[in-house]
Amino acid sequence: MTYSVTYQDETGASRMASISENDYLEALENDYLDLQRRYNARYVTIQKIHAEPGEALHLVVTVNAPSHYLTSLNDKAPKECRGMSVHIICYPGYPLKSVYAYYAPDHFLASPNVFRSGVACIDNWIPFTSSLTTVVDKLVHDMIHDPVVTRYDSMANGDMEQWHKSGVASRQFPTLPPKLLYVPDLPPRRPRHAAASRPVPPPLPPRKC
Amino acid sequence: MNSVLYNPDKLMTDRPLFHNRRVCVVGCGAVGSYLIEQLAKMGASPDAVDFDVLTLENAAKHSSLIRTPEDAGRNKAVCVSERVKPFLDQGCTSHGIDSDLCLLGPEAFADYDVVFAALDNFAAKVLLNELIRQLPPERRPLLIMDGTYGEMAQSVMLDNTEFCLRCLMDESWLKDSAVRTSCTSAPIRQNDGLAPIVRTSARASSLAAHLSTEQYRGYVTGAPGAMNRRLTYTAYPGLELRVSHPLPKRNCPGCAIQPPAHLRWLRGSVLTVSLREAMQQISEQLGTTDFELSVHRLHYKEVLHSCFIVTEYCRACGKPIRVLKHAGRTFPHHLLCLECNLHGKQPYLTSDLPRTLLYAFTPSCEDAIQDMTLFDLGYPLGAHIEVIERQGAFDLLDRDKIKTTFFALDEDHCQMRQIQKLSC
Repeated sequence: MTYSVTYQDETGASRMASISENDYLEALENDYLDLQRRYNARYVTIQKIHAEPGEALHLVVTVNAPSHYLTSLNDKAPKECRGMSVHIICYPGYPLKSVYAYYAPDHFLASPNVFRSGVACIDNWIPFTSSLTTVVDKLVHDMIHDPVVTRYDSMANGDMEQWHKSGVASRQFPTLPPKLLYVPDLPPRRPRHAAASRPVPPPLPPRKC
Repeated sequence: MNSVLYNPDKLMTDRPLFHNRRVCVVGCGAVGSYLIEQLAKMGASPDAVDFDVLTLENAAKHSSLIRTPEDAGRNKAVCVSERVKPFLDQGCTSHGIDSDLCLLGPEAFADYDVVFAALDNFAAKVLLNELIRQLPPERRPLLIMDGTYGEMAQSVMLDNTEFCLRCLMDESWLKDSAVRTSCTSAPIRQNDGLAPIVRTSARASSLAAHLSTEQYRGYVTGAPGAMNRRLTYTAYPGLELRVSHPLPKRNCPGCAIQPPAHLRWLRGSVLTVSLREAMQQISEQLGTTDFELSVHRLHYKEVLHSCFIVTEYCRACGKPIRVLKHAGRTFPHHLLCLECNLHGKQPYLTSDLPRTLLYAFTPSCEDAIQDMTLFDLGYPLGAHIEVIERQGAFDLLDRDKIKTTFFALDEDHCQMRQIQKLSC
């Protein structure tokens, strides 16, 4: 089985990609290993659970830090809790196919970027730019209400906008310094190859008016 | 030979070579209708596939086989195959199928010698390429693609050994692959987000059909240097007929598509076999009931549709509804409840409400799903069905335990001669 797609990257350029069955499993394995080494186990736990039919990988990511949750479609009053868990599912065809993230429908994160059904909004999926790692990173920050990742311009739950903004204004959010989420002595990544510098065209001559 | 219509003394001596060869023309518009006429007159047995209907405004571009105004409103494929029947040689057949290409799978084309792609949009060409590439080389038909632009006409014949159909398309054209164009080479020009109408003439369309049938003739008669070539006819003032050799495209996603390594057969057709029956046959072959059928993956217009929608919420009133449709066959009006549909309400898009989606079918699926035919579950006619045995694996990263097998149904290809209409 081959998965292929033509997509627009973050610069708007059209790109094509095709990956084989082995490629996607390799990518999934690499990203999963990367997640395991990245986070501080005291605050973030990543657990694999049994994948259901049709799923390639099913993770439960738990943040052990103060957070807030809602309980139903019509609930507008966030309640405090000591931690939140989110389910993340990867499907065959990853990373060309987006991952799916959701909270329990009766215990979902109070956030402008989480739908009332409990489904987490993960923005546009751009293959090879978006990944399991970027999604988990956004979600763990969201679970401590870090405003750095909150998108007020594309809201899933508009009722949470004011509540979230006032929490940020009163410095209650984020509920944990975000750097504590990560392993303190994470070995630095191998430096990437520098992209070839583009030739700079000579400046245009001044206009003759 | 039908001696009333075909006098052998006045025809070429190589004519018997074409007799009764099965060819399929996908797209029966301006070019396709001429193609079917010529193929029938060559002595072949042309089948036709198209989902569209004939309109009066296009009557001047079609072959004269089509009657105006009587045929307006009829399905193109069904109509053309019916109109061509008087010209068929003895023993030859022509069958028209009213179907969207998305409803056909690779095995639907496995019986044909040649498939002609007379399509007017890039998304369909990409899909057809994918279907043909999924067939093993020994059962893979030749592909001849044609098209027009202005007064220019083109045709390319390929056997998928040097390049694929997608190699002939610039990937930037596929950004909005739904844009309709009948051109095989010129890029879409967009003006303020609107695609201008591509003007072509009936003459150019019939020329494109002539070029295609000439390539077909070259292939059948074994003309050297006919395969994997592009013929381009340019009209005055630069009148010319050019032969070129297209090159493969680097990193072409189309070329990366390979047929399944091993294909096993189930009895019946996706149109009649239910999920329950298919699972029974699969478990007999695999010797286990611990397996899952991946939901059909439809790549169309650069979107991967790979789930089956069980329940949704009415996109107008929010009432829960049962959809029971493959995502690739679900249109916005399918996501309305009966009442909202009757009142002509417009669906809105949201992810706010929970829905039930399936990515795989298992023996534990609910009865209503098990009783549905494979076709109704989203598998196209001639599908390759992926079956995964997890064998206790925790997830798909547990690679040593995972076993994947592909199945196809042995009567699917015969249905191409029997069915008149496929709809979702």
